[in-house]
Amino acid sequence: MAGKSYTLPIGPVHPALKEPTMFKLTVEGEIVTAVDVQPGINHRGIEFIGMRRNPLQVLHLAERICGICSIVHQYSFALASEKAAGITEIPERAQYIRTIMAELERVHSHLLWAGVAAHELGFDTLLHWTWQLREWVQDVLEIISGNRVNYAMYIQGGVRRDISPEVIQKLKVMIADYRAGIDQLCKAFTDDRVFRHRTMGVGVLTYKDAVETCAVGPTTRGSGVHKDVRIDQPFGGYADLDLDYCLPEKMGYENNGDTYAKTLVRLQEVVQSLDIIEFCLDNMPPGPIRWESNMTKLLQHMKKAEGEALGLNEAPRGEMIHYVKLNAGDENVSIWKVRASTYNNILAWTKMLPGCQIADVSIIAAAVDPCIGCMDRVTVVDQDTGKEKLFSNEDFYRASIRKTRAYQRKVSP
Amino acid sequence: MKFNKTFDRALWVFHLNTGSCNGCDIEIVAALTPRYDVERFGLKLVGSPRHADVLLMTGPVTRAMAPRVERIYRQTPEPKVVMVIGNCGCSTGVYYESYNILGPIDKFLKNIDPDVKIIYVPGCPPRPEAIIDATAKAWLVLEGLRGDA
Amino acid sequence: MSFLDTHGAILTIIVPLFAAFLMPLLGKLSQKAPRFLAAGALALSSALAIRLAIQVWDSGTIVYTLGSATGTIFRIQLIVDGMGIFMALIMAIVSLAVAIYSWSNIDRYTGQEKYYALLLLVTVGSYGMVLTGDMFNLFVFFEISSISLCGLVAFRSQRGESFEAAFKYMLYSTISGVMILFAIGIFYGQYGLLHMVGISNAMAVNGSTMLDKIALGLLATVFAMKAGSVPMHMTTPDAYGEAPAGITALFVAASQAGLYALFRTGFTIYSSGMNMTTLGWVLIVLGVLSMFIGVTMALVQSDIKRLMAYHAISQTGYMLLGVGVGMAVMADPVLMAQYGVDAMRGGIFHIINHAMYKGLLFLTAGAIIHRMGTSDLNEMHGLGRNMKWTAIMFILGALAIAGLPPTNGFSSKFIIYESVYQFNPILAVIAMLVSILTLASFVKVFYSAFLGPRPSKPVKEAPASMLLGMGIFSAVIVILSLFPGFIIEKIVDPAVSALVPGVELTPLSSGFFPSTIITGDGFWSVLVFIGAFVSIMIIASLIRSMGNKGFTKRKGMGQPYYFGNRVTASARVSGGNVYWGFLKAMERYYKPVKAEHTGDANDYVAWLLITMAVILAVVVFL
Repeated sequence: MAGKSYTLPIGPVHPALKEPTMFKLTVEGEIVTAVDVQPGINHRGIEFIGMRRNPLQVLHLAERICGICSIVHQYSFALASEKAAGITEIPERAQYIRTIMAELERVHSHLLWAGVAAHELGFDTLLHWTWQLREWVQDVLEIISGNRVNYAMYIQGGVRRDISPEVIQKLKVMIADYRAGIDQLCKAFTDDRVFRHRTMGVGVLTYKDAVETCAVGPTTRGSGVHKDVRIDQPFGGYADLDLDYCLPEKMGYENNGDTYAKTLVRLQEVVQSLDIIEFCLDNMPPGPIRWESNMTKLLQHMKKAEGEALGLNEAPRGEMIHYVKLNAGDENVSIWKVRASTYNNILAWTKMLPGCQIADVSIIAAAVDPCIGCMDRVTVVDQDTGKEKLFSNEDFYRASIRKTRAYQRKVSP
Repeated sequence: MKFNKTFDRALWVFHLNTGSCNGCDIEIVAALTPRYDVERFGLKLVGSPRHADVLLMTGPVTRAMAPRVERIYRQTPEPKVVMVIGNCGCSTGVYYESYNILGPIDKFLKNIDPDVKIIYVPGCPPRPEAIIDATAKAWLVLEGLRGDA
Repeated sequence: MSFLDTHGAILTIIVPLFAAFLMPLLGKLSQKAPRFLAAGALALSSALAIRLAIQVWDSGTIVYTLGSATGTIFRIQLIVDGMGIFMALIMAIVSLAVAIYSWSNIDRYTGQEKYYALLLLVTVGSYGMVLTGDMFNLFVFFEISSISLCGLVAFRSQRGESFEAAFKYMLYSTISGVMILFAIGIFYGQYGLLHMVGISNAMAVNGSTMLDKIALGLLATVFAMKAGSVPMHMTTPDAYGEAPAGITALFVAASQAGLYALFRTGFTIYSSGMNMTTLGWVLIVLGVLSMFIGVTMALVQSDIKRLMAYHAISQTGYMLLGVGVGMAVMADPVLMAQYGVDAMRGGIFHIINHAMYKGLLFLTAGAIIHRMGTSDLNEMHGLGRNMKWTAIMFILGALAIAGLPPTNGFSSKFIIYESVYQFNPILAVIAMLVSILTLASFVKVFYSAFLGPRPSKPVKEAPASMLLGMGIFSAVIVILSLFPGFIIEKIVDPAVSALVPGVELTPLSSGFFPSTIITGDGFWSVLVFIGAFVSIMIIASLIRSMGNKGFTKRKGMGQPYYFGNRVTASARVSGGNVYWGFLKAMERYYKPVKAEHTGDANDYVAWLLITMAVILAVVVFL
């Protein structure tokens, strides 16, 4: 036997993921021995564009960083720019509505993930079923905000639309329907022999690796790490709630960090989100929904604002951070940096993929719930001058060629 | 170009994400699920452009994806139609004036192949009903191109 | 009788010998002259050999005496019969092709006169072995060829591995030489004779004694080792792999001289005095082991010449199997007529086929290494675009070795399968399985070397002299393929009747169509096959021409879909990984077998001695 391993490049266009990303697997026969992820293909330069827009416009741009976790990007940016601008009195009703929107999105995202995971295993019936269930929450989102994706609900200082009593009624009906059907859905995953066989013991991320790679979200909770921004650093409506970490051991499985554990975490979180929404609906305080209703005044305030702040949030995939710096007198956002949760979770791939078979690559990759659209950010800071330069793929490549040529000239006279 | 009778039957679709936020991609997959069920018309997502009749492209074309889009376009056998889903593909949408975006898909494809047939579905993202409507219109366009009816 | 008629036999040996002696002197004069002398001398000796062949076929065995005409002591006799001239013919073709091939192959080395001198000496040794009628003479020529081959294996002295391989080969040859001397001592001690026919007659008188059987055991082991049969094959891949490519082709022919010596010992010397069934079975067992272990070890090789060397071992198994079956049923005239003769025909026809296609394959491997700079299959790709002639000749050789119709490999294997099946069906099934695995490994070699993206630095076609050398082999293969019946009748049958005198040979081909072989049970006609092939191709192109004419190929349409990326060399599955699944499934077989091939010279000698002991025990006591 030659014993030489073979590099299997997957991507950027491939049926495993809906988004372009490139990973190079080094395989020996059927077993993966190493994985090298090459992101950057989905890089659209959003932060660069953001620096040419004012904070109200950036809200809409932030939404379109990712189509699945769109609302949390808006939420984080809103939190960050509010803190930077010094807007601290956000009405309670607005905070509760914000929480409700975020949790609705979590429900829809996890159901989406469940369908995709089933699809990766070839279980298309489950894909269709979970996405059919997902349509209920999409209907509710459409009733509240007018769109199935990209809701545009948030604004600095509150939310833009209120939830009327009829909508609350519809929400309650949806929750009741889900609660009735959630058991069956969970059973479809947990009791299915083929699903268990394909996911138990596959793609194991140990506790140590989860901590070392700084994985976040269900990826790390599946390994037993107690990490959840809503519980660790409560904000908004979460502060009034008494939440518990969603761990696999709560559903009777051990915290060993394999794909099955991650599935259990996500199913638990769906139920937890339903509880949170119900609590918020029952205890919805009355009052205004915006700190400043007049858009022009708000924009003027943001123009005069000076400061920098971080906005942390728990996206369906994990912890998400937006950093915003505003300068007085400058209408545009000065600095905007997004650190999406998938950025950390991608590293977990290098720990989970080696040792697995090629056939398991898609389910393990999907277990981390990658959202490459969130992830592809690139910023380079020039240490000497402190100036920031945004590099694109092309620039790196050209810089690398320049360096090679310089070295070649040095070596061969 | 004239199409032959293969377009009487169901269209097979290859989905290509040229760097989008995934909103349109999720709506495309949602169109296949039981609520909107475009599979009843025989549309099917295939895994290789070699099997495809229609290329379903979403997203603005990022610089890294540009050569790949070109290769995949060329590797799709004739006759073919391109359906551009979403604002990012029709115009660049919110990513206007980004350094890494090479322009809307039609501008990019017309450089490769001047008589490419494109069907635009605007929206951010377009609803699954809009995607189905566009497919129906595409069929009519293709029938018209075929020279009969 | 003309001068050449009388002295043709000895001249065939002397011409290259003198040329070899002249070579160093010529080397002092110029760098380039030795190659011409070598080619000229070998052309001359090949011509003499062919002339000798025609003479033998027309008038029967030639006996040429050096020394006193009567008496038995101070003379050496050359006995040229059908089998001997068969082998001499092989040597003629191979040596000439190799000499021409070597013009370019070692062009960049110094010391070329030494190379050519040794090459001529190997030829001398091989001619001597096959033409002589005297045991001690056989030993002398055996030693000449072995020692010269040792030197040639180490020719590429910039590589340490060459010296190691030469050392191991020398070790084997020396031990073998000592054993042959021992056997010769036994003969001389008992019968006071060294003459093959004389010993045979002496044995016929009293039957063979225990000492004779010991001598048989030793000789059988040693000659089987020279031919490269398992389990004494350990040095063969080393030596074949390290020698320059032309020499490897010559090596094949020289090994077959060892096979000739084995058959000579079995059939001519011993058959008069003892029942040959035991030895026949020994040959069959060695043959089956060689076939199977040879080809399975070849599948895992990543060096192209070593892979082909293992195939040489495997093909030797076919010859041992065929002739072994013949030997085993030699005593029974009914069985002999039924399939024994055909088995021997198949085995002996396979000898010349193998020398031709194996030689061709080694020469193509040499061309690939010459142009690519590496012999590792995992590093090569894309040579088919520029080295078209090499690729075509490689395909011809690969089809022949795999035994695919209409090549000559198929003809000889067909006869072997048919006859061996009647002897024992399992052996024939194993033989067919080995053929399939042979095809598999050559598909792997073709895929690695010739298919795939172009290499990063452009390669040109092999040099003209290499192509000419390969062309000689290809031409002979084509002739052998097209007229198998004729070849068997004219060339193989005299050899068979020389080994088994007095046996009845029913003609295999109907005289009218020289391309057909009709055995008792089967029918194979080259012309019918080619005719069918051509007509099917015509029908296919007719169907194709009725297709869509409006298709225009546009730019980029034909590229493989590779996730949108450009296909690079790293995208290929490398040669060693092509059969990953099969090798993984056979892991339990491969572990012990691979572990035995340690590369340690001590282990090699141990295998040789163990086998010698086993064969001695079998021959003496059974």
